[in-house]
Amino acid sequence: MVLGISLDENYACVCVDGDNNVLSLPFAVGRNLNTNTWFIGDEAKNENIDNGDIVIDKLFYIIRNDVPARIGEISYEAKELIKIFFSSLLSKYDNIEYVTVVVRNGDVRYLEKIKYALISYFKDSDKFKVSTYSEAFVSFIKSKDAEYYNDAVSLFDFTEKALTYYELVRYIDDNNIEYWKVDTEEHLALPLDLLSGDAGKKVCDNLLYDFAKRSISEEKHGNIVLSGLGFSDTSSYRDFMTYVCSFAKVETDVCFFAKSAYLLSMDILNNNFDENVMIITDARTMASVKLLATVNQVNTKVELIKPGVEWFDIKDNTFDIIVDGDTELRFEILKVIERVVNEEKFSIPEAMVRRQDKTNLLQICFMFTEQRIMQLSLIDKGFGEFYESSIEKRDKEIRI
Amino acid sequence: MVIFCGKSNNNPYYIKEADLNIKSIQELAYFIYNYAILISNSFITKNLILYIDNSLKLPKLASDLNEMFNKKVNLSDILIHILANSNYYSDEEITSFRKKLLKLLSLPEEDYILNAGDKLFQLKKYEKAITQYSKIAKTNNNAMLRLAQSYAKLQFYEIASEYFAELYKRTKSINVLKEAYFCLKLNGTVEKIRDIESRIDENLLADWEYDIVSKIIKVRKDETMKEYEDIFLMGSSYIKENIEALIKKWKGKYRYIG
Repeated sequence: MVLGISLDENYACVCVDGDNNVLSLPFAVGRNLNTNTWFIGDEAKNENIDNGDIVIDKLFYIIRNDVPARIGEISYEAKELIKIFFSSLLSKYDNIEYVTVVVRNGDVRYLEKIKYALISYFKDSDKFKVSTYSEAFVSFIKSKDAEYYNDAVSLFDFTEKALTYYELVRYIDDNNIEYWKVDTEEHLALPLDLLSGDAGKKVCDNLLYDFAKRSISEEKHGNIVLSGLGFSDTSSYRDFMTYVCSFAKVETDVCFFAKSAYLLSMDILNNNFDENVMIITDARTMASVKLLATVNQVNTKVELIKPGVEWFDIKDNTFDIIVDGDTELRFEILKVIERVVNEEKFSIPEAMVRRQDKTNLLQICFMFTEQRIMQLSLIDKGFGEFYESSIEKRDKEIRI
Repeated sequence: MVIFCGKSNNNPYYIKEADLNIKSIQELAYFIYNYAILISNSFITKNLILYIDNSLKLPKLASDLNEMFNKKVNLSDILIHILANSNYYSDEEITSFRKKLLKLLSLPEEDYILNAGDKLFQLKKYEKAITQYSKIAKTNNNAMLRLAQSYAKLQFYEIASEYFAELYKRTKSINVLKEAYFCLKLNGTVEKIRDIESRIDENLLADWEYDIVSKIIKVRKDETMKEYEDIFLMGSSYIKENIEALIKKWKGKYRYIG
């Protein structure tokens, strides 16, 4: 069984084996204090306080802001609650081969907690992937014939908490590298209960129309997808629909991201990734980072970070260097989209480079806290059993 | 210069000659370059070659060494080949190492042993250094001094004081007598302390006492000392748990004594 799950602020949608019937359930957990049993989704939403039920329906905010929640007399950490949610959800399915969970934004604190929940359930990191809507959108487009994406493809996602525009553009640069670049733009949230009256529908139509006019670029457009609960009935968006239909074929799929997450699962299982295509989304690094160093007596630029890799999934992030005589490290940062090269310098504290005879062994460690923010750490490792570490550590934030 | 070494290797290789673990090709090269006097013909083994291949991920160097090992190429050439492929030493440094090796090989046996002992002393491998110094201490005063110092470093103060006393007999150096006195004070051997006290000037003795107190104050300020003292302040179960770990650590260090 292969699953694709999309999570937004209020709902989780589950697509099983590419089936069109997607399960949509509230993103909530609850516990009955009398029976000590946990429940999720609709069961949690239909809480019966008199019966001893306690429900946490703001699970998304609790997890994103990393605050604990109290149920009865016990306070639960955010990561424990999401672990309970996923454990209850996934236990409904037998023989899960792979699952991909996608979220709107690559917020590292949020993604880490989802990963924690999944590793706790599967005990195997090769059974799941956590990524973003943009990555799922790419997998959706890859599943189509080339004609579908010859021109730019757009996506409007309209949920209770966000109206987001995605646009995928393909191009080949001067170095003959093919790029698939997804740009996103978020609009202020529109409350879906506006849609209950005619006036509200008209307001929504106007806002959607303005947003579409502003967002859709001048690029030649192929296809447009409308996703999210806000598009469950498009008949009242007359101006907006007229405008978007003027570009090309428009398709609507309320549970688009769960189905696309399933397609991403399949891409991973079938290793359906073209090494000659560089994908740039909000989940990927947009620059290469090189360290100016010596290897085998030759001055060279060692690439520490490649462009187009998933920044929140970078694992090989620790390297050793020996510094002799230098007082700073120099990094070359090449922004692949802008084709701009910048140099960043990292001053090495004097206490780290006091030893003689090439024994200043330092460890460089880096991680991304956001797509464009790389946190670099430099740690004095000593030099084996010859010299102890001074325990000196220096951090630097590099904006890419 | 910034040398890029790549990913850390956590798997150590034990160098028996120096009772030392290394974890990278740079550490191996550093050992060869600075401690060549400790290296014997048995240094290059199949295990070392396997380690270079599997843990340090240097298959080309491992394959070269294997070939040299099988062809029984002389040790100096093998060591130089390792340095040249270590991503650590420059050609000039390797040339200077070659000269250093030639000098070492021409050293008289007693100097060779003393130098080897000194290198081990420098590495704080006092038990190994003792083995070297003992070979020549009967005839070599420097070796006798280092032998006594090595025992003192290992906190075998009574043995250390005996060697200092023996050296004092040979040299009549007041500094050596002072070292013997310090060791006896640290060991608390009352009779021998009185014997020395009766032989020296009162003012000098006062200076020595002042030095001892200063050293004790310095040691008490040391973080490690504080750590040990804190263990004793924490109560009996904590002492048992932590002192056992400490003794285990010390046992590893002293395993060559006795």
